[in-house]
Amino acid sequence: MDVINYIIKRILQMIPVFIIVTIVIFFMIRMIPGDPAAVMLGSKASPEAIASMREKMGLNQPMWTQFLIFLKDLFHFDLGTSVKYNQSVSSLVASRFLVTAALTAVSTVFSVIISFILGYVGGMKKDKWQDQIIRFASLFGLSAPTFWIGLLLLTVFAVNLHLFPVSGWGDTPLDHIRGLILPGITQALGVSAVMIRNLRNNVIEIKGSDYVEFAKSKGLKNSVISSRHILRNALIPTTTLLALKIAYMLGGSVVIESVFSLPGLGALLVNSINARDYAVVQGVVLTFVIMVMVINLLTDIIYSILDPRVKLS
Amino acid sequence: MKNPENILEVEDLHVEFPYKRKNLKAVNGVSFSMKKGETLGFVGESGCGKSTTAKAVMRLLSETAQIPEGKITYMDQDILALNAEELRKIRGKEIGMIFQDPMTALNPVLTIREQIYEQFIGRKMTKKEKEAEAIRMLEYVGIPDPKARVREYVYQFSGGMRQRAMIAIALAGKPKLLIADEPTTALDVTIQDQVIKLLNRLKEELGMSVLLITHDLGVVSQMCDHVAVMYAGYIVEYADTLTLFARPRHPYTRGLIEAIPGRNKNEQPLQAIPGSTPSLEDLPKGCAFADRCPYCTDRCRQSLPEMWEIEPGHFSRCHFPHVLDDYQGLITL
Amino acid sequence: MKKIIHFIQDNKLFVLGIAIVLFFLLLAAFPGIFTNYDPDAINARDMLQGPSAVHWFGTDNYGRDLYTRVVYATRIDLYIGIGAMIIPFILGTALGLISGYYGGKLDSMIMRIVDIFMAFPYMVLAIAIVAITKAGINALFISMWLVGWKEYTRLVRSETIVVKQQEYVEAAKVLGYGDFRIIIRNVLPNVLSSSIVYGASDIVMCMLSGAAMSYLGLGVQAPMSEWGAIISEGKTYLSQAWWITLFPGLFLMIAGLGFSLIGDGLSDLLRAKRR
Repeated sequence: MDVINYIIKRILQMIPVFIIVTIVIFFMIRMIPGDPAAVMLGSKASPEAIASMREKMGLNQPMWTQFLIFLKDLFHFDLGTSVKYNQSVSSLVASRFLVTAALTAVSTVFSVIISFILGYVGGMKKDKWQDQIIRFASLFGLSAPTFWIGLLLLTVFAVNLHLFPVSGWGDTPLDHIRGLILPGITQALGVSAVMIRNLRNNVIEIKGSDYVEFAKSKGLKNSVISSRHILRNALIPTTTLLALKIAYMLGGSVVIESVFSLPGLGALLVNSINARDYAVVQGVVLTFVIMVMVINLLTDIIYSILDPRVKLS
Repeated sequence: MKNPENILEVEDLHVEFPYKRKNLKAVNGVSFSMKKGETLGFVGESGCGKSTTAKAVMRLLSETAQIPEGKITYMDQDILALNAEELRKIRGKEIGMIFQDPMTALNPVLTIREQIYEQFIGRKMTKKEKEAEAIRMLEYVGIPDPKARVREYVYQFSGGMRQRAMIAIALAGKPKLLIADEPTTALDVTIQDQVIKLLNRLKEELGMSVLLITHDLGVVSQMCDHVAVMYAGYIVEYADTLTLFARPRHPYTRGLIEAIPGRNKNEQPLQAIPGSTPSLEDLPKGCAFADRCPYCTDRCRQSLPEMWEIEPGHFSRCHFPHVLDDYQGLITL
Repeated sequence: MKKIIHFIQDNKLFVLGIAIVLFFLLLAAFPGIFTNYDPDAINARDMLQGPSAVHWFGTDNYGRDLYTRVVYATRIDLYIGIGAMIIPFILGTALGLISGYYGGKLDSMIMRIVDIFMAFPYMVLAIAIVAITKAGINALFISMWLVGWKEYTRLVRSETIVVKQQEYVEAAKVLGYGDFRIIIRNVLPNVLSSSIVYGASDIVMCMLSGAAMSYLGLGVQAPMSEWGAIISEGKTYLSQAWWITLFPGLFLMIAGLGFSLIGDGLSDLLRAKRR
């Protein structure tokens, strides 16, 4: 099948980039002042532990051997052990992965709903009051810090109105979803502003295009013109932008999970940096990179479905 | 309709566009009529109002356009008085339109077939019938291998084929009047020829009335029965094609004819018309062509000329149309 | 004079943006004009008081006047916003020009590097870099410089590719002008405008990211006060002293608004000019 071939092809293409990224991550740890083994084990490690870690990381061997050891461990999903939590990094990542993935998914859904609707309305009602309000609101969305909006929403809706849990995740799947709504909306607000503009501009441009005029000259109903001709084409560039924004929101988990006390990868990353738990930092960054690559792959496939001019090649 | 033989009658049409703090007067008192089955050409330079006039017939102008005066009658229907639904019934099915640039005039993400099918909305047709009809349309306009082509996308067609596809789509609605807005301008000369032949076939075989907009007098001579020359929103001359070329009676028309390359066998330099068109927000109170006219007098600047009927069916908007009585026009191009 | 009035009337939002930014620059340069209090003056008696005539924005958990703290923090936030943007702007634009103009292997290499940076989400890379260097305002700059340049490069590169194919560039080449001269005098001016417009929004992005990282404790460190850091201090007292969270964020948003309006206004003006 075409799609499967394409996926395989893309994975092969991504490998060189992935390797370079792993090299970058590999060197990141070694850039921290001090003995890398000591850095990984933390300040409280015994000299014997450090010595055996040095052995394990191959620090006495040439750099490229160290890198190969690093890669080998990677393929065995061995990302080291967390100093702070005393668990393997991979198990830590696995337990928190779902939270961040779910958060990003919910944020994406909200941002799609908000920006597609408002962007479309803004473009179709250019310069009328609906458009003015939407543009006005977008300006604020662009300029407001997400963590601040999150805190405000938290105060109003969770603390004061008790509509949502103050501390994110909870125990049951229903709790999970309830806990993701406020953070999802918060992230969506920040990102939607840019997408609304993009879609609005596309809609305006397409509204004045020849093929829309031609469609009108055929006597088509406004609803048909709006959906088949205007929206269909306007969404194409916005989808490309959406892909970038999803990756951005994935990174935004770093801040949002902290604000809403969600036990995800982002919060893990921040805590690990503060605790100097570098094995975890390494593992989490790597995980994020893989997630971004998967997102890009998915968006390219969706893009090729939307735009028949683009072939999966 | 004033005359039952007419398919379209336009009386004293004015179209204005607000711009910054003034009004652009794009169309100023345009009146004309078209008989069934005739091809009427509107010629003039960019911005003279020919496209605006044509679009007004289908009410395809932008939302900002204002029509302060005028009446447009199509087959006993007052176009300007129609509501949205009635207008939709006319568009595509009674009056069709094709556009200038085939690269941008067709939806890039829909197949040709889907775009033809849009014309079938409201007709009871089975899937098979629709496909057969669509293929027939492509065949009629001369697109090879229509069965395969009909499922393709616009980007897969070459320029000339796209223009034909657009004509096929317009035809699928079975209109009686086709408005063609610069259909050949964006095409190579060889392809232009093919499209002109195709459009002429429509007239001969289907009895189609065609309102042609162009700035190319060559195309006019190959296609049109009558010609209206426009300048700064006014019709300045109207006649049947042969008469217009042989006996032009407006200095602007003369200027246009002189500017045709290769017009006469002597190697005379191309004559351009000096000056430029007046800005539409500040039209002079007199003749709009006054500043550029070699025969201009004070009267020309002071008062707007009316349309004089010089000979039956030949009109000129000039105070002194007889200055050109000795002018040798063209018998053939 | 009349021209200025017409300009203001036709570009109200742009002028508003300029006014806002000028106001904040004033706050940053001369905080003393706007407040008499000492931002660091601890006063245990006045802890956590709400907004009042004496303390317009209330006080924080050390009894410091919040309004004064926020005003004095303006300097740091603007410094971060502009400082974090300017290097990527210059370097990124230069790289984009080179990449787009010369094409070929150089272009592939630069774009490869861009791809690698794009594999990391913005915030993740930013705080990872902070992790390696030590947290503090310098770490903020380094991390934002490293994360920010690629957008300029991509943007400028695609514009350069379009401009490169224009006839006036070909004409310059035919006339024998050297590459450097062509790039600087023919390509750059046409490409610079989108870079600048993006730059305005980038200032906002840098301010917000800097504030976010300071909020997480990874950016500006005490005793420097910065809006994000103040908000972070306020989170412990969220239900009791909402003002500590509200006002610095408000300032951030309005400052961001000012720059965004300038960016939009510039974009509109430049588009009108091109027609």
